[in-house]
Amino acid sequence: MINWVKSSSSNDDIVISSRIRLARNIQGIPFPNKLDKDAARELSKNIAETFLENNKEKFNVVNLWENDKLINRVYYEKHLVSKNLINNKETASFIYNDDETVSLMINEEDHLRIQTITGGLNLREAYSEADRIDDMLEENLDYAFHESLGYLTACPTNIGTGLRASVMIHLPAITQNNEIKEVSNILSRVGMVIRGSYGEGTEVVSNLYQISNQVTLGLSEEDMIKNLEGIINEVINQEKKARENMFKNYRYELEDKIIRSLAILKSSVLISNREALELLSNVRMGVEMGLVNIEKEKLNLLLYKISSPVIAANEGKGLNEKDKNIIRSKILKETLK
Amino acid sequence: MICDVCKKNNATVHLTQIINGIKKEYNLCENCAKEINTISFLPDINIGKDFSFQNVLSGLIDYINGNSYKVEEKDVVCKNCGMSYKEFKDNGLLGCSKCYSEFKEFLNPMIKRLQGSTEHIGKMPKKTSSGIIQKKKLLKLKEELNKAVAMEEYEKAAEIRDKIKELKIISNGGEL
Repeated sequence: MINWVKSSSSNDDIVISSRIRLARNIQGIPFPNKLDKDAARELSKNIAETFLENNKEKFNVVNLWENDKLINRVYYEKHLVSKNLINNKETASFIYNDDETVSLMINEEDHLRIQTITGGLNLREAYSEADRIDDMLEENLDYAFHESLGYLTACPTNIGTGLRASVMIHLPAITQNNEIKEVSNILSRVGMVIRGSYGEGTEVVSNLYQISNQVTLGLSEEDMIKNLEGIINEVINQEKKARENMFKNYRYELEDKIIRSLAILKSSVLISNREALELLSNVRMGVEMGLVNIEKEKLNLLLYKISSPVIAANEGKGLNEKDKNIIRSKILKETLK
Repeated sequence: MICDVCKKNNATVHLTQIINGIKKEYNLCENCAKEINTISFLPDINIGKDFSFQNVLSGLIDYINGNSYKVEEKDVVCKNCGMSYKEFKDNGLLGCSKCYSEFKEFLNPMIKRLQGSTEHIGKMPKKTSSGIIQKKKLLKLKEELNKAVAMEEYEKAAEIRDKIKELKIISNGGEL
């Protein structure tokens, strides 16, 4: 699998990344919310050891409780860990590979969350990797499994397959037309859901959304992924149609907006994260529509590189907002020159 | 009035947007208003925030179960982990895998409503799966048999009957 940041998907591809998550719990041990600290850390150690013993590739183990808050936030910005994992900081750990395509979260909402992320619309590759890891772990761990309810999870919204397949997709035109609510309504009717850029309960940044399956029981993994792919293709068509209309009716306004956005990003002296992400969305749309030419890798990289936690982690803690805004402008200038 | 975007500052800018006859009003503070310039897109403020499972869970459970379980549910506590049903209702998380059987009578109708099904047909752990697969195969064949009989496809029905016999012999005369 290729890291989503580096993925060189074609320019008109509006899907940034595909992610698979499998939720698993160990038989006979209370779920993380009922597990005391010592038992949870012990479990974390056991799962990590089991995994490392049976895996050839190089992996890194991170115990969140040993880390500074800021460092953990950086992992979050990179989509390596979830908000929930950070909330459980005292007992949570995760294991990731150097490519940052695989992340095993331990003591999140469930004992184990196997997550794989790759670039573009590529759910099947991500699933087969998650499936492989799951098989390997299953040989050495006893999962909580029920004949008719499937894999048992702390929250009943995840039982059955424990599978959440999601794609991160760029929808500026649908957003501008105020049609996200409609998309959301349609998706919920077919067992899917659209969320903010970092999943459940997070806000939308840079017009990036996550679309994923909501239903996890009663369908095979294969069918869930197939259904999601079908829906994603529909959403892609809608977004592209909306963009074509925009181009047909407001060509000069559109070009102006994109070129101006790029100019501001390249020449600002201080810029807030929110403004930068908004402008980056315009530029990304320009690239996707063939109106400007910038490597997508740079745009992907900037998504987290200019976030406040990452700037603070790289440049020192004592920075105030203004300092960060200045540094952000410098990073943008350098990356986009 | 509090700003719709940052939910912190006082809203001093009031913005009305009409697109295709649909009117939307935004109340913003000065800072957020500055960041949302006129050509740029207004963020869909509510997405993902209202519709979290935990938020709607309590209402959903009460709605599905009606009032009939109200008195009982206070008393149900999972013997294995000590999670009470009320606690589950408040935070949306069960305490252990045993909770699923302890709270079965309240949970199953809710799962059915949430998931549209109570029958897992996806991947199974290889260790535990062989017996279950057998059972499921048998169940499926029985369904097919009923269907064939109903359609008066007796030849097909006979074939299926033989398959069922075979399976039962393999699984040690296994009764379901």
